[in-house]
Amino acid sequence: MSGTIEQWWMQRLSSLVLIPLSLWFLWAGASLAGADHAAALAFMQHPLNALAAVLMTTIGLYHAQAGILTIVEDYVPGNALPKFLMLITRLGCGLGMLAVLGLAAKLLFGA
Amino acid sequence: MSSKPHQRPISPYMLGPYYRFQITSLLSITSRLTGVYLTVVTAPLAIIWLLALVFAPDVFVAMQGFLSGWVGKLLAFGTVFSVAYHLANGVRHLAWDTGRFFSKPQIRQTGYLMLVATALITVLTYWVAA
Amino acid sequence: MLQLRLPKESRLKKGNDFPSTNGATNVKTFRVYRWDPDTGGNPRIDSYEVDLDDCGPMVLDAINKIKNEIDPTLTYRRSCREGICGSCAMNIDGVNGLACTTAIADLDNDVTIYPLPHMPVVKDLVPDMSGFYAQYASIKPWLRARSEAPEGRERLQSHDEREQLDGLYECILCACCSTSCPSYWWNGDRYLGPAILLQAYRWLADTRDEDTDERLDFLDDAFRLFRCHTILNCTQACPKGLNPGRAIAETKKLLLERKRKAA
Repeated sequence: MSGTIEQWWMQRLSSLVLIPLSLWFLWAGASLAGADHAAALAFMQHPLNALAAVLMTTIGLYHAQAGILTIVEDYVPGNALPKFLMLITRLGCGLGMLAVLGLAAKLLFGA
Repeated sequence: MSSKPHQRPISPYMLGPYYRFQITSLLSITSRLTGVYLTVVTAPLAIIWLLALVFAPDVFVAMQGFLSGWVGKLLAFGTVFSVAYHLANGVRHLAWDTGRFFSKPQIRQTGYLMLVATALITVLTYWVAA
Repeated sequence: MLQLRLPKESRLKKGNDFPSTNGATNVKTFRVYRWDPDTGGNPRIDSYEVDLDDCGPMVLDAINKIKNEIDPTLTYRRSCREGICGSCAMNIDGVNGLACTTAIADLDNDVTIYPLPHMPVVKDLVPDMSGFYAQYASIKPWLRARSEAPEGRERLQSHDEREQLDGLYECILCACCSTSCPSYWWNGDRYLGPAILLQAYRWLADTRDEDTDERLDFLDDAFRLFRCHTILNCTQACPKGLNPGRAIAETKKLLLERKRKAA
């Protein structure tokens, strides 16, 4: 596979963006531990938190997918099995991203 | 005895019994394991949590209850530690990618520094939660 | 391929004991990997008690003493006995190094000696290096210039340009770094490994070389270069104090820079 420097760079770029986002994630998780539904919803409806949640999950899933694909390439030999595992990974992460985007639409415009 | 040459064995290699774990390989494999944990445990949990929050309040209440139980607390600790570790070691890797901190003492020192940062971030998160 | 356990036929079994006989008091046990292609079977670990009061200071001295005085069937590579040929690279006490520059006094307890990790074994401590050398050849490790050579003299470099090669040209291709790298264990058939990548960077860093683009094209590959995940066992292992990890990072930077310029 040629031209891998692009993939490598995208993974670094996503990690860079994830530095502040993951700190936000820890802060949000800590703030919402044991929160009731109304409080949690109010927290997430704040535009900045909603934005952070969407970015955290989508970019996080992108980064996770890149990481898992690297692990599959590292450890799984052959042709069919790695392709299958990569498909599963892409599907799972894609599904997660879709869910988050739907969720964001509902949070911001729905209700 | 046969005259056919015997198949060559592979020399011993595995980290642990045959190749000594060092700060390099130990911290590296932990980074990978925390990444897998975040992908397989944390990401689905967080997304289901968000979905429940927005679409299914009763599921959300049940989830908050689960997360305050001991299994939930264990999973949450795994998450906090994994985020902290993956973040701290990730920053270390980004610094390496710029070509810096490659001397042997620096490899060791940044490793220890990263572990301290991980502990600090973890403690701080639980302090905020309390 | 990830393989957490040694394949069945490669697992170690206990071998023979060669206890010290002459009443020596300062004795150290060397547990040495043995495999004989003529008899086959599983490799075994033979234990040799060596009288350190009658032995040179280095691990190679002990191995020589074993071969000369205890067991002449022990097979290993050695030549210069001063860390410049790279022949006696082996896994000493769980870490790769040169037997000739590793002091016995620095090793606690019994000393285990295995061939370089995850290599096909030819005999005892002699691994098959042909794959490693083929990978070295694949990077075309010679000066590739397109411009006309200057008349009657070498291609000159400034002192600064020459300094770029420090820390690179000293590599003796002993393979201590490559065979310490887990990524090279799992994908050594396609991943070039730290030693070869350091050598590749040695030519990228050489101002007289004019084939940088082609060299980078060759390296920009998911397996040849990008199986490196900066584990840095390589830099820890290098018996010459070189830094393959840094050379690989610099190579990735060159690729990135080239991409930016093209964009």
